[in-house]
Amino acid sequence: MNPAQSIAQQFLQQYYQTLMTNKMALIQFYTDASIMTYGGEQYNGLKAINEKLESLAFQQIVYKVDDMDVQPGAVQNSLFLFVTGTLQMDGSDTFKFSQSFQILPNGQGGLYVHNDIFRLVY
Amino acid sequence: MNPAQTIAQQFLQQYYNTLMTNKMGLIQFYTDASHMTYGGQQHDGLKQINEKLESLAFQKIAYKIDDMDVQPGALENSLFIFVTGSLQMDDAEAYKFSQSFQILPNGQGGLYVHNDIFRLVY
Repeated sequence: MNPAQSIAQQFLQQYYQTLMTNKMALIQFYTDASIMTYGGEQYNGLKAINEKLESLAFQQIVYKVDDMDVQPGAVQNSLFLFVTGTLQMDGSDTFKFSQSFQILPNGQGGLYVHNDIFRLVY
Repeated sequence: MNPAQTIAQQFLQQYYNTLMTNKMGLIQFYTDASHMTYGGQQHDGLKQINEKLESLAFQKIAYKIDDMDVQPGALENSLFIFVTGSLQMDDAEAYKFSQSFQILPNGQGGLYVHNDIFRLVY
């Protein structure tokens, strides 16, 4: 695994772990520059993204990542990620998903999610 | 459809049409800064991408786009695009795919593919 893949894997582990244990805390990965699209609906900036997280109606969710592809992003020290996997909400059926991210330096030594597009795959 | 979606749709139509009618012509969408990942294998820059296009072994391919999500990319006038659809090679079965792009200004008034990740979805 090359350095970019290591950073991406660590990021994804933190991201999905947060989503599984404390979904509202997922907001820490976003800034007002962030854009999230979930099932075709777009949310721009912290307020819209926070409202979307509040609206997610599951009690429990389990994510499993099957594959991850990583490329250098458009700016230095950024990464372009593509994830495929499965998720299961509240013990119901398992669904396949694809999710694409671009993570950028946040100016304080860390990374934030600038682009996030999620779709279930039927 | 907003302006970003219109530009993205035009781009995707040109991209998939080129792939369906003249796959080697797809190289026009890439530069030496481009990264393409296809089924987990990464190809960087024009030489590698050209070799990958040469290695694609179909006589005929049909693409159908089911959904497209578009966001502003990391740089001004860039777009982050996520596509789901199906493809069929040489009259074999249809397969579902997901593909994520980031397209950037090429400095000559057009756009090029900086990031391209493609995966079949089983």
